[in-house]
Amino acid sequence: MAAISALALLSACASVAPASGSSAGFKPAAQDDKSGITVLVDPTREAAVQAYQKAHPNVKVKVTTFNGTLQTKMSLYDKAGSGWPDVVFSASSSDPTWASKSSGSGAQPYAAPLNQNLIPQSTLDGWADGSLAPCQFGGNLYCLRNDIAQTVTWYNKTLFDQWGYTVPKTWDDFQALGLKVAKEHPGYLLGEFGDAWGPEIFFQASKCPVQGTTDKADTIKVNLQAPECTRMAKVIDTLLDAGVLGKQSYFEKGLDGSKVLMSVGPSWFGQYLFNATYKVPAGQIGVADQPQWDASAPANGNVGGGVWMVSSHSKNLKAATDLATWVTSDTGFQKTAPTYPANKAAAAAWLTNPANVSYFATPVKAPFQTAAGQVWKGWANTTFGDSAAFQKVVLPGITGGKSLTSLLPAWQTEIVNSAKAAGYKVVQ
Amino acid sequence: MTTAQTLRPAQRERSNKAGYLFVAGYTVLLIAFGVLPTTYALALAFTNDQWQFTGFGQFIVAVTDYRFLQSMANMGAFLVIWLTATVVFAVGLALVLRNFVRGRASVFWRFIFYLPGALAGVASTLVWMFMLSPQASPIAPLLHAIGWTDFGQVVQPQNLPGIFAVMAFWVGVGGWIIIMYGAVNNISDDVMEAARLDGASSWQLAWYVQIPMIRQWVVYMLILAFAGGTQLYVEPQLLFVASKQVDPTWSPNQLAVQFAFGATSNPNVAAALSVVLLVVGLMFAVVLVKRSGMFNVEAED
Repeated sequence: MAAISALALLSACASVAPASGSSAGFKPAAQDDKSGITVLVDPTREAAVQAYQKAHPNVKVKVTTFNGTLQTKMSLYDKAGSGWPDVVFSASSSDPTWASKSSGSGAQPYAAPLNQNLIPQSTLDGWADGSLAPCQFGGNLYCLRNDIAQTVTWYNKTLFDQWGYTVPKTWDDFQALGLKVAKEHPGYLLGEFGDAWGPEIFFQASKCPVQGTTDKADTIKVNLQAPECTRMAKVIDTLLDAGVLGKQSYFEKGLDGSKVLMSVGPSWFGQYLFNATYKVPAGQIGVADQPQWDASAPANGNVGGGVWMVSSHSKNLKAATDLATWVTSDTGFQKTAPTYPANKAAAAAWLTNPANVSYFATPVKAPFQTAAGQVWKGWANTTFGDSAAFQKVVLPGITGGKSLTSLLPAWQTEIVNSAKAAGYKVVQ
Repeated sequence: MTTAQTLRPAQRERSNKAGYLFVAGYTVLLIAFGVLPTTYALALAFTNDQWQFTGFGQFIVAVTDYRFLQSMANMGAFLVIWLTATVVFAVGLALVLRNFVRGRASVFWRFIFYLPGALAGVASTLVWMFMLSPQASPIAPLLHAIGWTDFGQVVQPQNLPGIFAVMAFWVGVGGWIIIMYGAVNNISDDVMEAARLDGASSWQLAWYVQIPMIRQWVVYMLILAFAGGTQLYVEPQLLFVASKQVDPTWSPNQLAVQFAFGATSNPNVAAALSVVLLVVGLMFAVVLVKRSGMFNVEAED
């Protein structure tokens, strides 16, 4: 300790932290309506850009695909002072957190504030309630939400009917059903608790302040001993003990998908998990509302959902903004999108596309729309993300045989440490 | 000697020029990819993003980070297991090859030992991830017998130093066996013959004659292996990506990458941490060199 304070004396020269720029100073580059635009997307979203290009043959679009950490790439462009793509897609809805701020050294924040003379408010009103929240910082809008991943209940309707089970409406029902399944049909699962989405699927839906919002953007609330957290931890512990919640990843190689009787999970589980991965035949999987603690004050989880951002350095903001708006809201294109659109008109079109809904045994529309409007807004978007601490502390603990309840204090410590290291203030 | 004396001055100059030409390529690359980045890192470590001097400020940020001690402890555990295994097996197998295996069999075994080293780091990590996955591994029954039925149980924190040591050992030890074999081979037959005439058994020959005579090679191996080991990055990073439950800042190098590109991007702290690792490696080298008398010319006689 003495050595450290001696070093501190030596170091009292200049601030060690990067100079943080506020998001206020947006100065567009000189505009050129003829200038081509570059778009950086993940491989899945390449089709979106190609569709735009087809519909707009006059715009020069260059698309590059990339699967990695966007922040790393952007801070390298910031260091170089050039090269930023005009539009980017990010699969992580927490990316606007850093993209709306300067990366240091006076660099202009990457994301352009779209509400400032770029997209009219009437257009922005077309997005689902709360779906643009991850894009909003300091009264500005820094991205357009592509899709939402609201949580619903997925269940094997064929087996439920055969065994006379009803879909649980509350988390207490969920636990009771789990204990019943453990006794009557051991080996079947009500889900897995081995993925990074655990916090969002269970704790966001329980209104637990894993990283709760406060009225300040740089302050989050972390209190895993709150009753909203411990009640969910107890349910999960009970079902882990009973063996009806698995400890593997949903996508673990060799997992027998036919044993997954039910699962609370995001809207993309239906197609990606049950259809594409588990290959459950069509007409068996049903979708219902996610269980609640209190039907009068419902809350749902949300597992990610991508965003499109426009570069504040773009020489052709008009074309860049137009592309971002089109790929997120064009009904003709979005109805073929792989995931549930955040734009309301696009979502309505998506739900009429048989390719998205005909696989399921029950109607998709009502549970999806209900869930989309109920995603708990008390969950903050942070630069350090909501899953890293969970993956580091909770998942190894669970596979190592510890109970979730016993891991809550260590999880709390890890979240608080990573929040502070990322420059956040933490309240309980 | 005779050629140097018969060369005229102009010729001597020309041959000097050729020498410079030969090292020029290497020197350019060394400056571009060795000296410059190191200087840049040193400059970054003592400044902030405005190039203002911060003294040891960035070092304090790095070593007081809540992840620093854990990642250093992880690296330490890895190094102890890996270096011990490398020294014991590289020297042991080289001696066995030299003393008991002859002719074609020796060539065959040296080739086999070297083979895994031909795989690049990433590929070998993938091979081991496959080997250690209870669902996919060809040695699955063995993993099940240990009580590992899914990957999550394999990558429990207490297993990780051993797992990374196995991965690094598998790739690296082959090359060292070949080098140690060369070192043992260099010991003069007269010395070996004298020891045998004095009645030394194979065991005594190895322990009292061969190992002391290749001691400097072992020190050399330890210094290089230690420096390489402090750079551990690919193995934990791939395991983190694959398992989703390995600490993303398991090794100090991963922590440095987090500092540079993570939630709060600060390349200056990352540079400071790299300098810390460099200093640790240098200190280890200095201690070994001093204690072994590696560069002590008299000791060689």
